[in-house]
Amino acid sequence: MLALYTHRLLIPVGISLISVMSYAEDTSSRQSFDLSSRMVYSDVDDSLGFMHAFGIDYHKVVSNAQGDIGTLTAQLYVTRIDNLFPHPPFFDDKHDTELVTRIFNFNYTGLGKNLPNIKVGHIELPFGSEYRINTNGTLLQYTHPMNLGPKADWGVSINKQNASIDYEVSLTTGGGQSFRPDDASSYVLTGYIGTSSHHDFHYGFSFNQSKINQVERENYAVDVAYYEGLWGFSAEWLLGEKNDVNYQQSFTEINWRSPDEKQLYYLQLRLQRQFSDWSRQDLMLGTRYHFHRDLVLSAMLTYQEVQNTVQLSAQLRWRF
Amino acid sequence: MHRFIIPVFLLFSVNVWSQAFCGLRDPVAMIEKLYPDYTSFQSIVRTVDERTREVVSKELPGMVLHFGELGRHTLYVVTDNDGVLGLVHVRSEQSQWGLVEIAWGISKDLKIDGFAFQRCRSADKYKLEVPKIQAVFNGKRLEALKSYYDFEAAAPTQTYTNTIGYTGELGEVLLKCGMKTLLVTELVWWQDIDTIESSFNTFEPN
Repeated sequence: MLALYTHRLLIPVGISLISVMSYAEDTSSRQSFDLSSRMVYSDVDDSLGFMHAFGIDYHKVVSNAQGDIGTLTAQLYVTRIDNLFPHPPFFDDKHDTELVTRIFNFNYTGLGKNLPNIKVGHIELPFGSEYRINTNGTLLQYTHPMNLGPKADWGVSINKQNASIDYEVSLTTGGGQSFRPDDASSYVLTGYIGTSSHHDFHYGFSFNQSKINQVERENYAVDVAYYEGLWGFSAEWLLGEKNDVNYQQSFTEINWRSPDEKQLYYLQLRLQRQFSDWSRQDLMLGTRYHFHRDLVLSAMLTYQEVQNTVQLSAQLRWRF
Repeated sequence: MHRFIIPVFLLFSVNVWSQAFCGLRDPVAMIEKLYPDYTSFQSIVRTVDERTREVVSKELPGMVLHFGELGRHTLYVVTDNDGVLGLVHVRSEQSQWGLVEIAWGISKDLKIDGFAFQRCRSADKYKLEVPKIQAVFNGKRLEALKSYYDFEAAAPTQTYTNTIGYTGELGEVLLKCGMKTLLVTELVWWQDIDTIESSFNTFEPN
């Protein structure tokens, strides 16, 4: 019911945004339509699932006479899944259509050079390697859903980026796509502090404590990334607890880009131990190819050793 | 049987690099490096289009804007309590190490104030981001930078390499990026630059 209410509110907001887009070309804004089709093959039941998304991506810098005072980011998508299982929890079943809010927030930056910014809205949770890398709508993913539950959530954060440090601490509701979760006592507290991500070598520390619909989590992570020429390497080590079950996890990635950066190839390895047993040994092998300025083709193979499953995904994305 | 459908929408096209906008970050660290005493900045977002690309190819023969350089881009007007300190624009240049992003500090009359490597996967950036080489660029306009480049040979002149004391590829990347930045800034933001002075005359210190 709350999800429905959320969507009823977002539809007019989305339409309003689209209507102002035609006037926005000469102001400090960017806007793009974003259309993607994803195909997922799973060998568990030898099935083929699909996800189609169409939405708007809108970004506007708000200024006054003294300078910029904030940034509005809105990403609203109509998303259809067909025969997709497993699927994100905000879909009712494996055939469903939902209005999905990826990011929808205002980051107030008007407190000045030395004070933090304040972000309000639907926020990507600041945690681990994924915080540094833009994975919105891409096949390339890191550890957010597995570690935190939602990848983005409704709430507030304080954040800042300067010459030496990036940090963000957020307090969110735990509802994910909904303003409020089913259990009103839910919350998600997440934080990240690290060296500036424009350096060839950077590192950071994260924490996350949450209670979402009776599932309690606590995570602490260290992440590092290093870039040398066309090669990139990143790693994340995590100590976590989910409903009193402790686990350790490591996530590593090595990637290579072509000199024009139209091609990306990556290999990821995720290892997780609960008690003294491996609970995950996942290998992901993927590629991304910008074969046109606005068109991106991606593919990824996921092999889960412990679960003995193979998944093959492919996606075509067009931003215009 | 499921179908893999890509509808074709006959809508206007806005040139954008296929990346979600939530990944956009202001180059705060670079602004701080180029203008350490700044107190604030204001973004002016404009479109770098095919027409700009054509003029760049004509004015700087052999140099093309790659597809990531087209689309909506930002010029930052950097201020302190007394008014405008300068402009900051970040442009990228292809290299053997991938895209090199360089932030340029530019005065209101379109002279170089300084540069800083925002993203560069070559360790040679530490050899170039030094006061001696900054001094070679500082105060230069586009025409002065062009005199360091042999367009027929598509290479920097010996005068340039001798002046900076470096012959590697990153020196050429730096020079080409500087020329393209000054030209693109003038072509795309000239109307804004013309009005910066008057709009910030009413600037009220915090």
